[in-house]
Amino acid sequence: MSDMESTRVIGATTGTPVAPGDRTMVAPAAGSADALRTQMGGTTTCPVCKSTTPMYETYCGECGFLLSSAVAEEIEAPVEEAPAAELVDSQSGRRYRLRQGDNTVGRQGTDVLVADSTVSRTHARITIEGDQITVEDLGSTNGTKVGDKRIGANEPTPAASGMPLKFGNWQVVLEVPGNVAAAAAPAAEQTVVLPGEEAAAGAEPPTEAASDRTPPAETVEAAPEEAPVETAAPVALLRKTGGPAGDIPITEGTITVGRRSTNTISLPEDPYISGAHAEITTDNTGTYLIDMGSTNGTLVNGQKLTPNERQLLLSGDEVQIGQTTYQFEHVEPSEESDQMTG
Amino acid sequence: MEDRTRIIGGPTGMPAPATTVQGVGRTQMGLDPMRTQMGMPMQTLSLECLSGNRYAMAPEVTREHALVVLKASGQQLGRRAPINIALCIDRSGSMEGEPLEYVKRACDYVVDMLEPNDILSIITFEEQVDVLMPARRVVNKALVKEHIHRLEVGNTTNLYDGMMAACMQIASVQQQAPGYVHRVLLLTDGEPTAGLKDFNSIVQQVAQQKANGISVTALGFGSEYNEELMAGIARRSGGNYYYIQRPDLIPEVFRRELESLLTIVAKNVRVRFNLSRWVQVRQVYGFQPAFQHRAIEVSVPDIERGTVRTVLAELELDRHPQGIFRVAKIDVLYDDVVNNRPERASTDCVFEFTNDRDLLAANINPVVRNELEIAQASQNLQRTIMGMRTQQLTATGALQELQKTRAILSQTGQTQQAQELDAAMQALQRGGADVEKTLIGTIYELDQGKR
Repeated sequence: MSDMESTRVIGATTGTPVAPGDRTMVAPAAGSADALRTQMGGTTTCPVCKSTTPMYETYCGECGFLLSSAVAEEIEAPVEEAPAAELVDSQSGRRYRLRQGDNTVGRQGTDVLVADSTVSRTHARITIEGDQITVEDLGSTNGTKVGDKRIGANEPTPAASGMPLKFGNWQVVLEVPGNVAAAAAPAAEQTVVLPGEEAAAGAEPPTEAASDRTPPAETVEAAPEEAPVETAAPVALLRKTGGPAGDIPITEGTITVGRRSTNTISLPEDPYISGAHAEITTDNTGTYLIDMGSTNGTLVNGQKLTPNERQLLLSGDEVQIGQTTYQFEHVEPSEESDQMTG
Repeated sequence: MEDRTRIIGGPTGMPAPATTVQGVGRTQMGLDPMRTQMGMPMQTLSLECLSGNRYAMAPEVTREHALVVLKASGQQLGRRAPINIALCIDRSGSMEGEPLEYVKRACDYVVDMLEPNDILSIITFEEQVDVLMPARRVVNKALVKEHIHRLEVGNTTNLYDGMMAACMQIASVQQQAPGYVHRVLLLTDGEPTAGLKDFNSIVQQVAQQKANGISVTALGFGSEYNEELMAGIARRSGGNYYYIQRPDLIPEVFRRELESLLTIVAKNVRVRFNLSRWVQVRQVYGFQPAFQHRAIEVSVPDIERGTVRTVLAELELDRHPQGIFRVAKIDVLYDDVVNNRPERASTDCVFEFTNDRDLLAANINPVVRNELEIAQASQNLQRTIMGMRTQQLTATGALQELQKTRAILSQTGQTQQAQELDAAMQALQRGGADVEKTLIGTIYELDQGKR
């Protein structure tokens, strides 16, 4: 703790308890002096967003603040406004924030940026004026639907909370936060839905954990979304695309995968999976898959892994374990769901 | 403060002896947080991220740009990577005569250029697909040429099955050829008239091949082929796109493509922007980003020795406190084909947030602004093409637009592309049909960020 006081924590924030379980704070590999320091608690608290970052980092892992910069007075974190409305993509769990005024939707240089080839570059505009919301198609190739109704180009059409909207083949639901108090909470509670039975295997239900931790009153200046991320919440997922076994939710740290019940994720359904088949390690550099010398091997994008060698997984990678095939994807913790509203 | 620009390989880090780096296994590299952060020299690619402005406005939501510059060293570091190449040749009826004769010459040239380690396969397609030569090392060059010279024309164009057969040939030896550059050269002069013809299905298959490490270079010949499809194939697979106007240019284009293939030093290149809080990406010019957990990633075409590749992103920065912030950490992952191992490099994109608007005006980065103008020129061209197609733009209107874009391109130093616009404008005045083909080629080159 003396480390912290002597260095980078500035102003009144020194006493603020360090938010535990910040995603970016992972004990790195032993070996370097810095790594050892971190394991002994050598972390820095960011004066702006109050997140903790390992000492050797130059910038705050959360907000990017240059931790060595000299600051004369206390820094006020910007208060994040609740979004005027949100578009919720139930397939990916992603939430897109909408502002008062005009919000463009499309594939190129829009406020809501969508990676879907059926969405036009500048597809539509959602205008929010007070509590009036209208959707206007801007001459898109594949059209826009509000509710069940396909709307004509350049005809602003009123829309309301809870309505499904469809841009090309991209379907979302329009959500308007009911009131200010509710606006802060849902962000923490909203979690990507994991296919039911697997949730129990690895993570404790993130929903409860997150809301338990939300302090009753916000005394620090940090934004309401500041509720710490529950470390056991999945950060990634091997989503089953075929075969007998189930999905594999991946949590920070190391999990084991195999047929036996002693594994973090037990997959008894597939006889081609070994008792102790593979290990999946997630740290701040990414998620790595290690075959533990299984009988039938582990394949990533068709390439068989060398046993006991780490293989970095990237979004979209196809993984085969036994007779079950998976697609690797990152899970977005709800807290940061505002990331791609731009 | 001193940390603001981190040029990898710059004076910040102690140059590590090459042997140390080679001794480090792949697993360890991923674990060592210091390696990528302290500006150790990169063997094959150097990475730099330029902020569009040193400053950004703290009290308001602003849009700024970040330019990622990947530089491949011009020195020949070791042997060139061996290639596993499939020539996929359209021999439909329309190729009869001169075109097919020039194609044969071009194939001869490719055969001549191959070294004993390289792997070649030759596939031809018309209504049917023939594997003229399955993937193998070329031992008897004369014999291969003899086969090539027996080529005759058939009737329709089954482009999809031809291309897939070529990919299969490449894939059949992929396991035995680690560290090879895998590439299909697809030459066609027409619309697909047989087999799968739908743009989206074809392009999706190509993306699948790209995921397996196979790129397709699309060579469109004459005035009848589908430039949208050919450019789409090249774009999704990370290959090149060429428009060949006359048959006698076929050998020259093959030569250029082979030259580029033989100098590839990095393949499977991915640039990832890890975004800090209060930062969003509005677009990555010329690329379709993939979204990840508070990060976006784009896949960049293979990089040749001595070339520079740029990736320009438009960021939206929410209100910030005053001070210096890293708005994004940039990771570049790639396969170093010279040393045959995966590599990664990282750098930071940093802005200083201020309330002083005057500071912004005085600190625009000219390099980033130049790239932005090039990116906007590409978007102008896309608009011009759309305008011409939908007839909202007359020939005169299109000429004026092209003239404007041409001026931007020559100001920003894109001489070759400016010349291509000259050719397109001449074609437009003649009422030629190949205006779009030329323009799509120009857009493709601009978007690839090859400088």
